[in-house]
Amino acid sequence: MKNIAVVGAGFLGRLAAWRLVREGHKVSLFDRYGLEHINASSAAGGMLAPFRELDIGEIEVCQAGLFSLEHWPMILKKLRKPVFYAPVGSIVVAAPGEENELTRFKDRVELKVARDKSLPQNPVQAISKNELTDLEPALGDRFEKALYFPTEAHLHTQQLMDSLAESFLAENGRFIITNDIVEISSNTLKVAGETVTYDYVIDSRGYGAKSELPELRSIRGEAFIVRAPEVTFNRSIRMMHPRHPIYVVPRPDQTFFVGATAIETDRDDGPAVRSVLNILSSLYYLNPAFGEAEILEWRVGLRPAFPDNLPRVSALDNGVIRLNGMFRHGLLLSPYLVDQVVEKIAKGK
Amino acid sequence: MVEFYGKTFQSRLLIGTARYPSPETVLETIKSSGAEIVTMSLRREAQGQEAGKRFWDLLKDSHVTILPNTAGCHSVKEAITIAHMAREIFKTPWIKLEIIGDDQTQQPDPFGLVEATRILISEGFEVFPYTTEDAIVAERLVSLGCKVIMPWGAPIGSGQGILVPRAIKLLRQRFPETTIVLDAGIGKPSHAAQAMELGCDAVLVNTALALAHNPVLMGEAFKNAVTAGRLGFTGGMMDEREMAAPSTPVIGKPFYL
Repeated sequence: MKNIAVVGAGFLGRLAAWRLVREGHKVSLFDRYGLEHINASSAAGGMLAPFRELDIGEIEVCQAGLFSLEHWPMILKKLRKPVFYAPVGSIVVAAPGEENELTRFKDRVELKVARDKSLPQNPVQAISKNELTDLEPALGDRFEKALYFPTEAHLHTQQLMDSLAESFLAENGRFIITNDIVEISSNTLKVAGETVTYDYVIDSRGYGAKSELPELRSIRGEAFIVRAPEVTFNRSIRMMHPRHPIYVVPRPDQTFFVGATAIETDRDDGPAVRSVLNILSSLYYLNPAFGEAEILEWRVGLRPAFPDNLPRVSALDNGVIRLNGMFRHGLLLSPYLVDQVVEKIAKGK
Repeated sequence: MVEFYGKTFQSRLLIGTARYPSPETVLETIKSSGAEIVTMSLRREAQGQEAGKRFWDLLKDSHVTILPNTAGCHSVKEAITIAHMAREIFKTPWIKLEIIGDDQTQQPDPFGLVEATRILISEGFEVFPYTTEDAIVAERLVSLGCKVIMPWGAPIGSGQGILVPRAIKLLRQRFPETTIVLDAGIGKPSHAAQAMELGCDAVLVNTALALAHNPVLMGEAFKNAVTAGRLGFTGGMMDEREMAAPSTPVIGKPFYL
């Protein structure tokens, strides 16, 4: 049994903490805020869309994402509280005048997938209005064509965050709120006057690691949760738009998670009026019945990213394991990265 | 060599920094395109406590000249506020002045543009106005003291190329002393070459690079296209003819059937 500290309680930190405590280790999870605090993870839409991410993402993210897509359902089964999970595929549509972008989107995904022959080579289908209507009647009369990614999925991020926390605590994991951890230079942490040397310290912080990692920047995302009794669809939808693209992730009880802006700033206050106008007018275009939706809440998160928008992962000799810069892929990368961490620690020093 | 308000540059390709897959890609594209001037939006990024500083720091490290812009502004007042902010943050009198008159086409508002240009020049700014191909608007801007004008080729991000080549040619003839940068609408390297052939001093490209499958490669393509177009313009291109004019004389050939 190892004594392990996990710093940063997003998807990555919570999953690592829970997995390690189940492996029989003594685990302390630290965060600056309480478990209910809205962070980049709980402000995330919850799409498990490794292929759709290839639009701007790198092939490495897709490869790791496929592992996670396969493993999330198994993880969810072991958690104490149910998490809404929908392995129903995902869809991309385009705002008027942007239809040509769909072809480019598909081309780009296929070009990147072709670089790794071990990946499924036909992850995306171009579908017609009729086919779209069959899949999602609520969208068929709005769009002439779409892209369909049949193997992708989405889940309820808040339920996942809650369930991971509860499952971790139930296994006698310790959670500590602290502002004391600014730097993780060794496996010794000093929290509330107490100095503890751990076998491993896992740095799973997001933008909170900025003072130590000067290249880290934050990309603000603003999102909304709405309830729309008149709209029904099952798959997560991305709508391309030159200025305000959106995604909509359906959740149970006619609620929808609608996001998100991507602004190069570290301001984390409430959503800007402009963002509200842009996101909600795109939502209204997607289906005018959203005009009657009730806005339940807004969420703002700061995505942590390095200049290449790819994560940086390293295991140092002094027991520090760093997992930073998840950008918008925390959910997609966590099972893959945590598996490596668990394995590394099992082999041990 | 091309001149912008007394500063000279080798590269005649200016690039934007929006919509790229990552800041790293922006840096690599700056290198591959040879661009020495990049334009950057302040509209929203400037509002954090760090004022989008980290992204800006990355650009600063690449030793390019920053041309801050007022993208997304819809009024004179808004644009002037952003210009002041840009001068503060980037320590430069340069401002690429964009005032959008229509959301759908992102067409510049020429009336607001002239008004804002007048105010900013009186405050000591060096204005790069984003305008249409209209020669009268250009005339007003130049008489207010603009040494640079930036006419569009087509709506921003449309990739339609140069919709009214004759108007761009006319701008060149009317304003021989003004630095003309074709801005907006360029989708392909050939569009950039055409702009240079028409006599523009430089072109500004963003979306065509940012949304390319490989922005870095596209940067190199545009670099070469701009060079080709410029050499074409200075080399003195032949005029069009109604009929074929064979390059090998036929006179003297026996029994030409």
